[in-house]
Amino acid sequence: MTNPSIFSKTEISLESFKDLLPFFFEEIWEDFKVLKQLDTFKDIEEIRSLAHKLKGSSACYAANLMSANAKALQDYVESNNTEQTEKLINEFEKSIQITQEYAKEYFNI
Amino acid sequence: MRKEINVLLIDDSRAINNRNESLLKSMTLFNEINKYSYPTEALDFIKNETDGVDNKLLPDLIFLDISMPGMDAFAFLDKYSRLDNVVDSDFLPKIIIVSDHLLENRNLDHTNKYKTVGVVDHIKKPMDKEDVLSVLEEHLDKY
Repeated sequence: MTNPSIFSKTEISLESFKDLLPFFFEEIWEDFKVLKQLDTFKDIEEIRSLAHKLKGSSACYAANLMSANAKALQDYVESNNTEQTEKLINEFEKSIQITQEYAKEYFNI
Repeated sequence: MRKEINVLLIDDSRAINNRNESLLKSMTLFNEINKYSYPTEALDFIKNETDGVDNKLLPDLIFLDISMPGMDAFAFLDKYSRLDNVVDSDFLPKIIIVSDHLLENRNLDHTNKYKTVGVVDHIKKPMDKEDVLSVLEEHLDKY
């Protein structure tokens, strides 16, 4: 049984899930690099759009912690705020790291 | 006999496309499953397949992400509706809009505009088996 605050149950088989997780994290990290770059320019719409994408792909992989953090970032910039984006992006980064470490241990990937 | 169903998945996230492909494969109802992260490539695929002699890969169903950078679902549908082989032929796959919340108000109006080119329904992310079965039962005749 997974830790539901990190991963909840997924619709696809465990075997498929384990096979797809490495590609999922690869894409997440690629998008995260872009997110960091966007934050240097405080491009609100692009940050919002990418946070939205990250929220959606995290949710599709039942990665609850990541999805929640991406949503927090999306909600924050949708209020036209940018002061705390760096902090929220750093928190999202931590959530990726925690989730990936958990996945390595629990799913043995 | 159940018809072999071809599906086209369009989402800017490769990870989501992979996951949805895996979900569909596990249902053992589908023949060809093609996936594209760039909507322009999906348009090229449709154009090329319908220009060809052998149309076995033509999708019966298209799952289309509503929000994609560069070309969202509505921009895609605009270009799709202008393809000669959509306007002039019997090729009309059922198009299902996929979004992270159920469409309401303005966005629903937008999808209604594209009913004539095949938009029939919308489902919420993440796609699940129930959604897919519901789409098949409601919108695909020979299922």
